[in-house]
Amino acid sequence: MVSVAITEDRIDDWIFDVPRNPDAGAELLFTGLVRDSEKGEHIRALVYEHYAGMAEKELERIGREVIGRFGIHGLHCIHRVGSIPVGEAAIVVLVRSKHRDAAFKAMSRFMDELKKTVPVWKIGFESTGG
Amino acid sequence: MSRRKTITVTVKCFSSARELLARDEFQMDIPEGSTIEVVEQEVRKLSSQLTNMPFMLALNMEYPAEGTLVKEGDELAIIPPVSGG
Repeated sequence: MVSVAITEDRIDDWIFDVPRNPDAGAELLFTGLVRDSEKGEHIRALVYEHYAGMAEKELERIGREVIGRFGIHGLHCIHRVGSIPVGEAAIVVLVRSKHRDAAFKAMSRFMDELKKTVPVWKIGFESTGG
Repeated sequence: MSRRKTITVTVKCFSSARELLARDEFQMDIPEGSTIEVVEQEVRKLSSQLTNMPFMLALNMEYPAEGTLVKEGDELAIIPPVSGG
C-alpha cells in the first residue's frame, strides 16, 4: 500500500494513520530536516515549491516501484512545501516490511529516486542576515 | 501548397525556468504530429539560457517515453533539476 501527500502545514511528529500488518517485523521512519546552512550561507528557512498533481503522481509511482522491488508491505510519505524553518521536517516517510533489510533498502531507494524525478524544488531561502 | 496544421499546448514553468522566462505558464503553437523531442527543441529556442540548461519536459504530469506525440490541449512542464526531500 502506498499513500502520499503534499502539504504546507507543519509535519514534525507526523503520525501515519495506517494499521500495522501483523506480519510486519520492521517499521522504519525517516524524517528529512531543513539544515541551518545553504550554499555556505546561514539560513533560517528554506522555501520549497512543487508541481501540484505531478509531484504526488511521481511519489506514488516511486512508492509502487519500491514495493514491487523489495516486497515491503507499505510506504507512506508526506512532503512539506512553502517556507520551512530550520530544524523542521521537510519530509516524513514510513516503511513497513516483514524484515528490516528490505525496509532499509526500500527507504534508501525511495529517497534516491525522489531526488531525481519528483518535481519539488528548493527555490530560495530566508537568510539570517547575520 | 498546404500549410501544416498547428496545435496549441500549454507549457508550465517551474523554478529556474520560471525565472528565466518570467512567467508561470504560456501557450505555444507547434506543428501537428510533433514528438516530445521536437517540442523540447522549440522550448529551448525561447531563451538562449535555455539552450543548454538541463531540464526534463513533462507531458500531462508524466515523463513521456521517447517519441511520444504531443496533442492539442496537452499540458507540458519544464522541469529543471529537482531538489525535494
